Amino acid sequence: MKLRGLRFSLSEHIPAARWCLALAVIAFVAVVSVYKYVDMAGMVTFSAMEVLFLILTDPMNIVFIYLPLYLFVVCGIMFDSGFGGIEILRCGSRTNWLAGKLVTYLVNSTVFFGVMFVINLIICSRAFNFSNVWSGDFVGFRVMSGQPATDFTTAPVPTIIAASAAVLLFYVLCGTVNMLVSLATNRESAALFVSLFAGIALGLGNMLVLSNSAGSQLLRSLVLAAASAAMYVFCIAAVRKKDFGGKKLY
Amino acid sequence: MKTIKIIAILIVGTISVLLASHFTEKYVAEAAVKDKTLAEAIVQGQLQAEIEKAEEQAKEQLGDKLAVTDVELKGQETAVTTAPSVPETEPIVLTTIPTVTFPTEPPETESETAAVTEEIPEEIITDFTRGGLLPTDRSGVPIKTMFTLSADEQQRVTKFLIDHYFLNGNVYIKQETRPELKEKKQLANDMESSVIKSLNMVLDSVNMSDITSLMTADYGKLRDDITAIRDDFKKKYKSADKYGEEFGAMYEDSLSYFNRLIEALGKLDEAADEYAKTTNPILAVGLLASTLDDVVIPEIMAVLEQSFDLVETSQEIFLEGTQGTKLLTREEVKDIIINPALVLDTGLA
Repeated sequence: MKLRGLRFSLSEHIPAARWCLALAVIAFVAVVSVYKYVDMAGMVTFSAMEVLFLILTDPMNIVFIYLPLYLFVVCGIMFDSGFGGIEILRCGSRTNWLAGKLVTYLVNSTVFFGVMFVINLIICSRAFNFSNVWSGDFVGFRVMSGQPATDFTTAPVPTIIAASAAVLLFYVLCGTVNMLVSLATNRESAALFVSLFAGIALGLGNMLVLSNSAGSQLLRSLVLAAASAAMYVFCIAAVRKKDFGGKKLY
Repeated sequence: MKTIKIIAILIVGTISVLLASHFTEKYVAEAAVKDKTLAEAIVQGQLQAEIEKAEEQAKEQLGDKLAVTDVELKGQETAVTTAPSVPETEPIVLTTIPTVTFPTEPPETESETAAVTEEIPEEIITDFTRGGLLPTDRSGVPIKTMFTLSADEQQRVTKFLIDHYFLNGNVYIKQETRPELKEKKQLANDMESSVIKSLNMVLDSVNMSDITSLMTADYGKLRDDITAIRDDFKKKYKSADKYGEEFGAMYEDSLSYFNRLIEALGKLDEAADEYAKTTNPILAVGLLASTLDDVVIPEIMAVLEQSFDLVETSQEIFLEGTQGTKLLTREEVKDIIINPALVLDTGLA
């Protein structure tokens, strides 16, 4: 019964129009991002992995472009099939229903992030060569800009994996905030805006941390995972008190 | 229904990625054959030295733990650049260069300003030539920019430009023995001193050897100060034309110059604000190069263009009664500013 509820929740939420728009925008933004680094290639040239790393750690992209797009894709999850009692009956309990929603959020976040990562990687590979070590220009430029040299003792791939994990968990946290506000307000638009502003505030706070080393990214990931878990606990408390009443909500 | 949705999403995704890849490859191919702009050459020259220094620091700190390599843009052969040659023996350092000022002190011996009307018994002969100073065949001349010169080289170029175009009015006043001409030259020098003062203020605010100082200077304050100089000049020399048509022309030309300089400082102020807002240091480099290309260099050339009329009017006054001076044309002055090697590497300066 639980699995049926989960499968139902996952299959219900495939907003085709939103996903199509998201894919087109991600591809466009990837091209614009890479163009900037191609323009600079006459002065400083980076490898494909380094450009990808720069895109993943650029707050302008992650917070102001991709985050609204992500929230646009996922914000309807809590409101599928009218937030109704029938779905909860199918799942067996409110917490099961909520768990199904959380898994739906996680799957959608992973797919969104995966698509974003792969598209940016493909576009970077069209312009720049791959290298499994850091380039001299990249190291020199980052050290010149104030980043500690010790950040570059780890090879590019593990550093990018750590950065990716941090970005994914950042989106998951914004998703759980969206979930909580949906439960509290019963409004998709309110959930979208509140989780967007919370994500922007968190993203801007993240800019204060100078180091983008693998270690820092992993620590960031742990903090984000813990915060997401805390949000989920609040959601459980909210769903237990919620009056569903069979209303179709928007 | 769900299958159709998934298929539609996959189709849109595939088309988006294919289009994005196509445009990116096209852009990379164009970038590979594009000539480096003057600004990019300037920024690369300065940046490369700093990056290499930082890379060396990192290597010293980490030793074998740090592994680095060199990479190039995809499909790009070894670039044939038009970057200016940076002298290897003289690394670019971020220091303030000695201020090059145009002398503004009045000549020591002369203090009278009262008009003395005297008959000049002898005929005034004026003879100077314009053009032909620079070599016609420039194929062997290297390319340099004002931003990459050492302090000594900047002084040599400045001296050459003063001797053969901008002219030091004080020298001509000192040498002039005829009172009427001396008075005219003194007035022209006094009028020009406001222009020279404004130029000195701009040169004092920026370090030509450090490109980023162009983006961090306080152009707002400079603009206000120069506006005050202009207003002062306007009030003081409003009736300059009563001393002769050429002084009326100097007055109008000076005002045009001031107005153009104030406009240029306004645009530089906006560009500097944009640069200051950039949070990504890597993208700031690109912005710096494009700002140099689109704003700084065109504005410098526009102000220079505006100053030509004024300078050539004052030349006529200073050289009145003199012989043998060789002057540059406007085009030659622009050529020297764009590539100072035309005088530095040809033995002229």
